[in-house]
Amino acid sequence: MAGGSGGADAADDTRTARSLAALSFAITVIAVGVPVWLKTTEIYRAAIPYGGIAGLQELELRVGDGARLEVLAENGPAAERLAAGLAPLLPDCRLDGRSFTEAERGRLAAAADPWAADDALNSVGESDHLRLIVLPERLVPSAAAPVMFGRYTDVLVTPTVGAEQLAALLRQTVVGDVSDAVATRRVRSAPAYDLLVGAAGRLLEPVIERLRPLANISVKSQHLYHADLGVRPGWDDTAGEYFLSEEQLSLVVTPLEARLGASVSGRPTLQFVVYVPSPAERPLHLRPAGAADAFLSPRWGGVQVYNPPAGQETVDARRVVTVLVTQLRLLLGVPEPPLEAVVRPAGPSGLRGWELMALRRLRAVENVESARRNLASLAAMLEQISNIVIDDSRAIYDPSMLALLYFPDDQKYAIYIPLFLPVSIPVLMSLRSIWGWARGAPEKVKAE
Amino acid sequence: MMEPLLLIGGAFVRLYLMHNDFFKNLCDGTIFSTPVSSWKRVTEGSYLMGQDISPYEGDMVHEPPLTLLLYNLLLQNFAGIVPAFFILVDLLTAHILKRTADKFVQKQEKPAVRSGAAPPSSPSPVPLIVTAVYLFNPCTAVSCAALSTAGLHQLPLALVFYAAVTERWWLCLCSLSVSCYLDLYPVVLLAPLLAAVGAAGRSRLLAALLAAGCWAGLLLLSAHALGDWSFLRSTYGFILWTWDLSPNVGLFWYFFTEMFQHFESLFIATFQINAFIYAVPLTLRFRGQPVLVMFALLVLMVTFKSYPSVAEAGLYLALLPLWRPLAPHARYGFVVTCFYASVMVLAPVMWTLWIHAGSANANFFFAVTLAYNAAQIFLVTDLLFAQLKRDHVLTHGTAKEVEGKPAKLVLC
Repeated sequence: MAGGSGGADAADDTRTARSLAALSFAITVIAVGVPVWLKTTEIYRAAIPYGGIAGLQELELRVGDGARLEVLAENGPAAERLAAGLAPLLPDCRLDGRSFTEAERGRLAAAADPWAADDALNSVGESDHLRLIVLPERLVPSAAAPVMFGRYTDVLVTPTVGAEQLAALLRQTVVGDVSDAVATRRVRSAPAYDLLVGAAGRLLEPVIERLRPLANISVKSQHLYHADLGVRPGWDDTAGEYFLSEEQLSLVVTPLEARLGASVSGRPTLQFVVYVPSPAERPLHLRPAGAADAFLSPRWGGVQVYNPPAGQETVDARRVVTVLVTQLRLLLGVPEPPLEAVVRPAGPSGLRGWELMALRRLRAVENVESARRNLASLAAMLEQISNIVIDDSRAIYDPSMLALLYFPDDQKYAIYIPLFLPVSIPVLMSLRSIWGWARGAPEKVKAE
Repeated sequence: MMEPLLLIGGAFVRLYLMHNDFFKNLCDGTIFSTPVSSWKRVTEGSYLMGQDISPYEGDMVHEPPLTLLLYNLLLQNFAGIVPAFFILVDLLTAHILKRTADKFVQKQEKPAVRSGAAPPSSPSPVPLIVTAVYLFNPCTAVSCAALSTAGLHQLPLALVFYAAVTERWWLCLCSLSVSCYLDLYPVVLLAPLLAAVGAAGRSRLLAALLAAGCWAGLLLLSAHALGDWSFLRSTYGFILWTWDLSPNVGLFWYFFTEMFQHFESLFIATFQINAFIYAVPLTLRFRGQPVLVMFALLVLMVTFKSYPSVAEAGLYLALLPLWRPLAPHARYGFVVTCFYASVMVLAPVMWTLWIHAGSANANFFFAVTLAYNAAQIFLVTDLLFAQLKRDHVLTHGTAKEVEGKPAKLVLC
């Protein structure tokens, strides 16, 4: 181990040894370390179909989409003719026509007028889709309106009905989009509602049953004694009554609500107040005079004033509930047929079959709209926050989503640098000398 | 003549420590009994086996199956002689170390004798020093008294060194696979061993296959004895993923108690890579001295493994005298000695203050642990530098210049 030439060989040998050793370090760091780093710090993001969500924004949904309208007539060709006539006017609905079945004919034979025919056709149960019944000639009264809305899911038409008129009426009611006036008045869709009623009763049960496919309504009632409306009614000498003007009505609702003490629940609350004025202020009417002394507050509920007959202190439940059901219908956004259409009285359940169907269709459209909006905002948020974990099965409110939410990128570097930088500097610097050795350049001896 | 005396002295020291109350309290700490080497857990595993429950079901037992079965046998039948068993294993390890030192010193002196120098007048004191260091080292003595199985794991490692020095390759590779089977980390010794095998002219591939085959055989035997492979998670899985963060003299626990969960796997991977990464570069750098590389890797393994106990330090401290010729070139001898001495005293003190007195906290103990690990790193780097300096001196003399220009010695 002595001698100049041996020394040079030994120096070369050590240089090779040193370079190989440094190279093995570098290889391990790059080939093992970097993939391990990338794999272990990746944030699991389940694939989100951003394209699909964006595409959903283009979707135009109408209330009538996919509605099924079946035309029934005495004979098949007549039904099909009407259906074919309506098809271009109602492009989003599915129209088909057929003749009456034997059973239906039998039941119709016993009917004497359109409403009886309506009952007869629905005696074994309401149909689950909208039907246009072309009445037989004998059932059509001479001065009948061409279109009559039944109590169930049928619309009765005369054989000579015009397709455009029929389509227009159907658009307004059964398969129509909701008008702006109704949209601001109706309470938002919810799976359940709370009804606070001033004076309820068994009369409400059929209504609530009828609405059950749409929503679960729970009714609560309370009585408030010695309650004041908070506004002083005017006295009309000529009519001999107290009255509340329109401007005063808007001041009534807020103090009333403060006193009503609604319970907190997750469901939208509809308040229906029956106000019985004190004997000193009877009779109390609302001006301008309407069919009943009642008014609606959009999305909140309704107030009606009930003047008991002279000498009595009881409340006529039937009258009260009638007004209440009307207000409920308005608040739910039940489509109102135009004044010139003939509509059959709704009966004890307060809601006609086709109205319920329209409400459900409206609810479906609202849900799709809301889902679409939520998805769009969710996708936008997830795209913006790049380090949030997207789990396959958990929703946005799950606590595990917050694990990385407030973890800015620069904190990550604060974690890596103290450990890895001091270690990697010699490795990186030795890469230079490895490069020199690989190229075969003579070793540079550093001056002290 | 000296050796039996030393052995008997070592046995007495251990017996005394085992029956002394003060040291009994000392032994409770995890300085000596880590989750991997605690005798309490072995007895728990033995009890579970007696109840026909798999000992690896919970998180208590991390002992490999074959040794667990051995201990179970001992506990069932010869429960009284378990302390004697530990002492015997320690004495056997000390004897093997002496034989290693004998052979190593002989090899060291051979070139000098061949080149004509007179043979040394008296036999070298190094082998006896080695034995004495191993037997009377507080690390190993108290570990034996604490019945830490880490002390038992030093026996195969000592055999590896013995067989490497005496060039008995079959014994070497088989004891290496036993050692790897017991703790995972001795696999780093395979790199210098293969270099030594290659230098001795034997087939390296065959050697690697032999070691791998032995290890696989032990694993298969364990699976057969237990009936399934569930022990893998509790032994190797536990060593690699370190989910138990109870304090010990290692570096893992303190770091990972503060780690964000998101980065945990990254840093565990980093720490484990760090434990294994030095094998190949050091082997390449010090091609001519495989035993030195084995020693350096032993020290690095003890520093960077996931659950070290001080018993493992006892082994390399005992082997340190073998490199007496490097002492003149070592720069940090005094510093390292002071480090070790203060750590020996402070570690139990800080532990007691933290756990028993409640007036210190984890930082005190971790500071001592850091000093301990720093001492080990200083030892390794100093030793390797000393070797380089010695090589340089032997080739170029004590001049500080290479080819007329002032030069600086670098490790890599």
